[in-house]
Amino acid sequence: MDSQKNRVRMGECFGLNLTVEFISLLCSLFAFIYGAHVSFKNRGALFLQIITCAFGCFSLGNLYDLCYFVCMERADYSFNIGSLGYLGGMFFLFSSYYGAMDRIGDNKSKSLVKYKVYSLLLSSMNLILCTIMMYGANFNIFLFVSSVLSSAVLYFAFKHLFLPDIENGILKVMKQYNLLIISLCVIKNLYDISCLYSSALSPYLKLLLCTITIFIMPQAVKGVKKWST
Amino acid sequence: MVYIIFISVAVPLFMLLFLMDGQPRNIVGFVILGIACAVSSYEINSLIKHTYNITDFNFKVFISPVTEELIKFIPPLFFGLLASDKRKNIIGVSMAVGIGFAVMENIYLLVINCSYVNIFWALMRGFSTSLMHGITTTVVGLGMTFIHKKKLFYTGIFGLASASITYHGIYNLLVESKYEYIGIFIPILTYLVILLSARKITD
Repeated sequence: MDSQKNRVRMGECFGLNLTVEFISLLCSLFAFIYGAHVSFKNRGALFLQIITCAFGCFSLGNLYDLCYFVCMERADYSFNIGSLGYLGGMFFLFSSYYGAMDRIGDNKSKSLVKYKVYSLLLSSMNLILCTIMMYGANFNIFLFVSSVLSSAVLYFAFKHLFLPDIENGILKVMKQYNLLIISLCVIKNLYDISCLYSSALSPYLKLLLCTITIFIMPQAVKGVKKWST
Repeated sequence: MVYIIFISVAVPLFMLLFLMDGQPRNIVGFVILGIACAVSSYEINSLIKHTYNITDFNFKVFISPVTEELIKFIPPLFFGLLASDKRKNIIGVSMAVGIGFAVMENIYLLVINCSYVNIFWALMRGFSTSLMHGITTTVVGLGMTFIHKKKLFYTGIFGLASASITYHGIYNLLVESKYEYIGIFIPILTYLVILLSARKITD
């Protein structure tokens, strides 16, 4: 009787995980295709093109997870080839801030230093918390690299959220986008840590990530449209 | 065996180099470099496999995508650094490296499995694996066009390398599983999508 119950529970788990993997692939594909349509068709802003590449990487990561789940009939929560896709996405998000957007928002004046310090403090706090939580489970160097990257993205997102508008209200229109990126990074870190602990929360956190993913690209397009008109 | 194949394929192509110039010469030269990359990755893969005693499946899914993509990444990097960062040139040579790599891999696998290969195997390797290697190297090559925009290049290139490794990993995972046909179909579909969207953007 117990083994029958266990089998039913495992079946439910399999169904839930498969649905979550499928939904997350669809959401990231939506963001990628929408971004590609908007940014590459009409030679849109470089910033949008880089974010589109980020969602391309997230889609590949999600596709790998789904394929692994279907082929092996179990999820792989350790660091794997699919995690490289997420890592690549984070590299692109970092690149979009560092290489494209930061020069528009930051004029390097001394009056802005305090905002940079606040952002640095918040992103370092994220990194320290992640490292402490990882030490509680099995410390994984690749997940640590991932949290370093997401902290770097968080630094720029916080900075652009706090900085006063110095040029044509560009930072103001990107505030919602920056908020979404902050939530994406924080929930991604929580998801990674919940996977380390094999927590039952993981699929729900992944669903939350999907929800945020859907809104990021349209929000970025809206912001870029405002600053270019 | 791998060196015998390398010499018999690369030397005639190398002779051809002296009769060409311009972009066609670059393409043939980078096909030869792709073949050389396949030989190096064979050596490195064998070393890793024997040192860590990894199973065949785990090796094909988790290790070989990383080593192969990192090795294929080197020739386009040097081309971008030393010769030209024009998109058209870099995409051409990157695709050439990928195709050269696939040619060498196909011949090697054909020689060691010659007793049981068939026309389906040839079609699969010819269309699917070659395209997969070509696409992944082209993706990395695209990043080389930003080689002189330092801020974008350093971060973007890691992203593109990760994307190509993941793509290669997905292909190997599917081809090694019971969903082999989906794996074979993915590079062909990707190639068609890239062709169509490139044409649409040009229009």
